[in-house]
Amino acid sequence: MAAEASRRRPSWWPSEIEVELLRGACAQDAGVAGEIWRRLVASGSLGALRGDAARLLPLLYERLCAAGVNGTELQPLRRAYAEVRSLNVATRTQAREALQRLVASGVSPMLLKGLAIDAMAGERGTRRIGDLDLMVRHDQLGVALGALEEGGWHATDSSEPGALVAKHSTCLRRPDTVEVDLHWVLSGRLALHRDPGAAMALFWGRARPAVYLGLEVLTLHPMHQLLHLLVHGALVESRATARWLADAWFVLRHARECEVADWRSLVDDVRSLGVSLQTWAALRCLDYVFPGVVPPAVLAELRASRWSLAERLLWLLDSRTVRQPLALDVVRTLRSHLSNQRFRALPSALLLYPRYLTANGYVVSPVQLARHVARRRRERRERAPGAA
Amino acid sequence: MKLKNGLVVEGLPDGGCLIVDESEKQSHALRPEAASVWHSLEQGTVEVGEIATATGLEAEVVEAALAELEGAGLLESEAGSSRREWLARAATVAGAAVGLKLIETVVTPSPAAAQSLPDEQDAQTDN
Repeated sequence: MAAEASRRRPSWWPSEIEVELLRGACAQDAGVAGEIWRRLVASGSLGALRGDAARLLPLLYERLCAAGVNGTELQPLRRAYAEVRSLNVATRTQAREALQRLVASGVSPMLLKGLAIDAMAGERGTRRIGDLDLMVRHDQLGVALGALEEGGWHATDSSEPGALVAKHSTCLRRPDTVEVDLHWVLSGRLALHRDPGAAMALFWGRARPAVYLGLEVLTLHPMHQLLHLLVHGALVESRATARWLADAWFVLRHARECEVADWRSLVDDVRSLGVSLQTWAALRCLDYVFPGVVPPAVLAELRASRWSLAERLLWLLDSRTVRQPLALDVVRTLRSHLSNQRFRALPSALLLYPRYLTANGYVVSPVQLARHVARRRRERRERAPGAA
Repeated sequence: MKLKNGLVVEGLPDGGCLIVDESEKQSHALRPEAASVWHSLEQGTVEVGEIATATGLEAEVVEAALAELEGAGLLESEAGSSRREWLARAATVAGAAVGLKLIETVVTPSPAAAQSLPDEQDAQTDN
């Protein structure tokens, strides 16, 4: 049975060792984490962990400490934990400054991704906050950009109003500071919704107030946070090969603890957003890694959904499948640049496309496009399960 | 002997603690024994014997911890650099005696430098 499941496992799912690591790092029974750790050490496979999977080591370390496991072989894990934790201390200082500026300007920032999980997890240091992902209402975007620019952050892409309206987020940088990824639409995939404003109203309507670093902020409803992880987790462009699964498990556990794990509303929301295929695929992967975590009825209902042609095409382009024809990669590369444009603005986006690429430092010639595609194919091969 | 100012102290899951020195861009992961000594110092106990009594540690372990704390620059001694050098040597001797390194220093890059810099395309999509 297990062998059959393994044979049918999509190539973008985590490898066997990553699954073991995820199960150990997220085990509620610390004793289970200890058993998995001993198996991993005995197999000698820890050295083969790829970068992103290695990010789970601090979480595993915490579980092993809870299990009373000790020994010199834990030293690298302890070090990884200390590194993440100390980096997060510095990142929180920078996050507080950015949030303070936004709040003082009358903007209500919503925490996303690493910051949101940090707000849930309190002082734990198991999850690196890679950058500052924040979302603001579209009508507060100008004020938010102004507040951050006063603090020394500068948008790295075109700040023309038209360009900003056509995208889902903008990246702001300041020397010696982590990037601020300022969203007004939750993700690039949802920016393709026929009415991104209405889609975002769904998230803002159920946002929850929180106090983070002493400041009043907002977070997504836990099930919307899960939705965000699911929509993003399986993307080919995502750098998170294993980490998103731990994040999803953690958010789901939090939702259960808060008694807000409302699967009915999740199913309804992903259908209305047109991401049921992507969500179903991601939930299958989550349920494979953590058996039984997703109610079978939810998987069945999403599987039975009518997936539109657009949804199927986008999934084909976006999913992290390794073996794909070169032509599809070319299409994907071109489309990914356009994906931040609204479909309704497609004609103007096409007209502006060369200018858009130039402004953002993307591919500007066929040679560059070829190089870009080749690099992305190489990267995907390297990230594939079992890659050296 | 007094504690350096401006440090962030957080607990570690093994009972130790992490001392983040943002001014030096480094952190120190203290084993539980060294963390006990640190907490005694925070409460104003500075004599080796008193710390040993308060923590239940052997005096030589307390000495080793103090020496490593000072060697890591976490304590400010009024006696100057000669005492620091002596303590650094003592740390080696005491550390060997207790058979354990009590503090591990982690040099951390700035969060910006540690940030995995995706290429431009990922920056747009890895939201």
